[in-house]
Amino acid sequence: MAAGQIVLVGLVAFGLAGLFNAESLYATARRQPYGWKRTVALDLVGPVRSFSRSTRLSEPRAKIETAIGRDPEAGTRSVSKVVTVATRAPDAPPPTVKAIRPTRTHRVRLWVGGDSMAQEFGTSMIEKAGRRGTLDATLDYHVSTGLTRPDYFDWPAYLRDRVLPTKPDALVLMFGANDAQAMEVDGKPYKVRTPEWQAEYRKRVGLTMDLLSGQGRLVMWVGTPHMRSAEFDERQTILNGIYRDEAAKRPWVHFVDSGPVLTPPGGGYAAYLPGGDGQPQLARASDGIHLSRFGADRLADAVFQAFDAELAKADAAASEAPDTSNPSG
Amino acid sequence: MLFPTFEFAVFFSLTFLGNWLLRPHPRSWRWFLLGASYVFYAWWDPRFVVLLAGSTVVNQVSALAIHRSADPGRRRVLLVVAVAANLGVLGFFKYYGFFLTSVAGGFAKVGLHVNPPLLQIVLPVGISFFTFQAMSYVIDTYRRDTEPAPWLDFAVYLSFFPHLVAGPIVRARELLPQLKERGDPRHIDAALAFRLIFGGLFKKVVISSFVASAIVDKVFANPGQHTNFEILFAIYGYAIQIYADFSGYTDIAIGCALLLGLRFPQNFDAPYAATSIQSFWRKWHMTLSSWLRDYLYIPLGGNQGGERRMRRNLFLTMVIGGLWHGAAWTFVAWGAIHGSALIIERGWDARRAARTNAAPGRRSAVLRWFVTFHVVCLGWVFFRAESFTKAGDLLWDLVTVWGVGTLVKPMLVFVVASMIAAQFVPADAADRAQALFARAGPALQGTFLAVGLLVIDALGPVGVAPFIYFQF
Repeated sequence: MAAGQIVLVGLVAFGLAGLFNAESLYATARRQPYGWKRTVALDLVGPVRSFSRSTRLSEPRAKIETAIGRDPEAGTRSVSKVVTVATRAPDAPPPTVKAIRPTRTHRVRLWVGGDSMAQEFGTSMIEKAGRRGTLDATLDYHVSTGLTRPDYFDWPAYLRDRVLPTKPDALVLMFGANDAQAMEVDGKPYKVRTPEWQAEYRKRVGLTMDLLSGQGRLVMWVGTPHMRSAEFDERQTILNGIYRDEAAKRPWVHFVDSGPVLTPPGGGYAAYLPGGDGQPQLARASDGIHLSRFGADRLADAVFQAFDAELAKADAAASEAPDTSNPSG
Repeated sequence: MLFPTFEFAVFFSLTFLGNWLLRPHPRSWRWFLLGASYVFYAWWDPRFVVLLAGSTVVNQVSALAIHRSADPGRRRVLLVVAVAANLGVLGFFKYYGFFLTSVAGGFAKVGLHVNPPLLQIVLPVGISFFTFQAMSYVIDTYRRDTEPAPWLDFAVYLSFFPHLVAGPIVRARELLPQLKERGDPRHIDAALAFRLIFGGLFKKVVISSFVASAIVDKVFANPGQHTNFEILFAIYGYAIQIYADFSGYTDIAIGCALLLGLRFPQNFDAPYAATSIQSFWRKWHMTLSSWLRDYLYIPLGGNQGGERRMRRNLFLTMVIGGLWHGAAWTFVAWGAIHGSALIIERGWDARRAARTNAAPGRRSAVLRWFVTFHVVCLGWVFFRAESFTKAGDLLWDLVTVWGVGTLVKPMLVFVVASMIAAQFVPADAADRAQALFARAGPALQGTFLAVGLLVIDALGPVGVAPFIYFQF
């Protein structure tokens, strides 16, 4: 085949494939961080998507996706409100954590989720939960997600529609690594250090925490550890402060600060930490962000320690005022 | 820049155009390929380019010095220095932390506690591949199997983007002569190239991703949560995942090179159809197998020096080959399993040959395939597991935790069985489809490829994980 013919074949192939996959291209463009690149991508893909829809060339892909049980419109829908459910009347007393005791018919249901940070950490949590023998633990993480971009992945809606109906007794969440990016507030993009961004993020964190409140349900909100990049670490510190503040306002939420757990005595980021035998072990992934399995194990231990302490507090409270309702909310 | 991405599609389209426009101008063409390859590599981290350029300079200077010297002693010293420099750089980037923590752990076992100066070093992608290629060039020059190429040719050879980050490991004598040829833009084997690229994309984006998410990642992360049936399918699944991932990458690499008018050696040949471990290694990562044979096994003595020495050489070659894959003892164990299996197999075959001259029957071939496949799968357990403890847990649960579980669904069984069965099917049907494609007009060819892209993109996950072999 001649090079010229290959160019022609390539043009036909990419042109048609663009039309066939226009919805996917549009979703990809929407996923980009706010800025000129995203605007240009959306401007370019928008007409292609319209043409594909009008000529029904997008239908074969939608049919394939439907056939394999996937939502063909995922990532392309508009999100009008970040959190659409108010779970508690403003004047209602705040829910408290209830003592959760596994019974012969009811094992404690623990849900662990978040972004890619929750992958290794959640795996450790699940393994440790399995060893306890009294927990039914589920790991449900979604890479590249968070609370700043509900247009890409709407965590509050997902928690409301997919997670809460499973009636978890306790939830462990870890977000933040993808959240320190520009966020749209009332149609205008703002950066992390701006008061507008922080007010909006605080609102979203608080609403998500409220959404998760239930009769006796315990929510463990795990902060992100120190990051190798000083600039990224600074932004994560802002996020961790918001999680801590919002958790402190809600008795059913316990904030676990992963900083001290994964920080050496001198403070800051450390790739290696002393293991049980005192020998250094790799605690972080090579990107300076994610956790190694050793780091994840250490954080999971700290979370379970806090989890047990919270349940012990609830136990103590329950012994003062016994509660006979169902263990799950 | 990953192959199955929009960025790479744009990059490759521009490179294709530049390649054929500049092909009549050899010097400009080489500079263009070099620039494109450096852009491709810098996409991960611009700092890596310094390392690649440094490797080019050190190895070319070494090869030229070895070639110019007539003194055998001096040539040998130069070779040792060059090999040590290559292994030193590879060792620093890849094995520094592993080595220090292993040494500290060893001291701790005898009651000595040391604090090694640990650094978290970012592993440059593909360093193992281009270091091995550079070493083969210098060693071949020393052996007078090849002559040093001009600077620009060597730089293009070492950095050429389709093979740069995950192979195939192309020898200097395979690629350098092609750089001197005048490529003909009227005769490009595009039908084969498209077959390789689209087949590779399907294996990587659809098969590898599906098997990984359906069972492999879940079971290997927490074997204790799963039944032995699930564990068995996770092990089979990983065998399919790594094959689909790695052979998919090299198929795309070979196809891209072909579109640019350059041929790479074959890297996979239905490895899971092998009926012996020896045959497996002639079909799996073939360019690494031949590299290890030519630059490690033979220099160690190869088959010379008696049966015991041959066994030692075989075992050492496989263990070092295992360590090449990653800085962890589990990779060493993987190499040791293959080394031991090769030794046992040789002994077995020798005893069998001494007993009878009859050719093995079909039943024997099936049994040999079954044993070979499961030995390979046993090796994959250690290759994939995060630690010996995890591998041990997985194998223990495989024989003790009886049950069916929920992860093994009909689609998974179909994919795993089809991928294994496909290894036994001759490529006649694919050859016929390729011939049909070659005869079609551009509009039909373009439509066919567009449908391929539609199916791959629709069946694949959102976002594509990096190729497994990038980490090596």
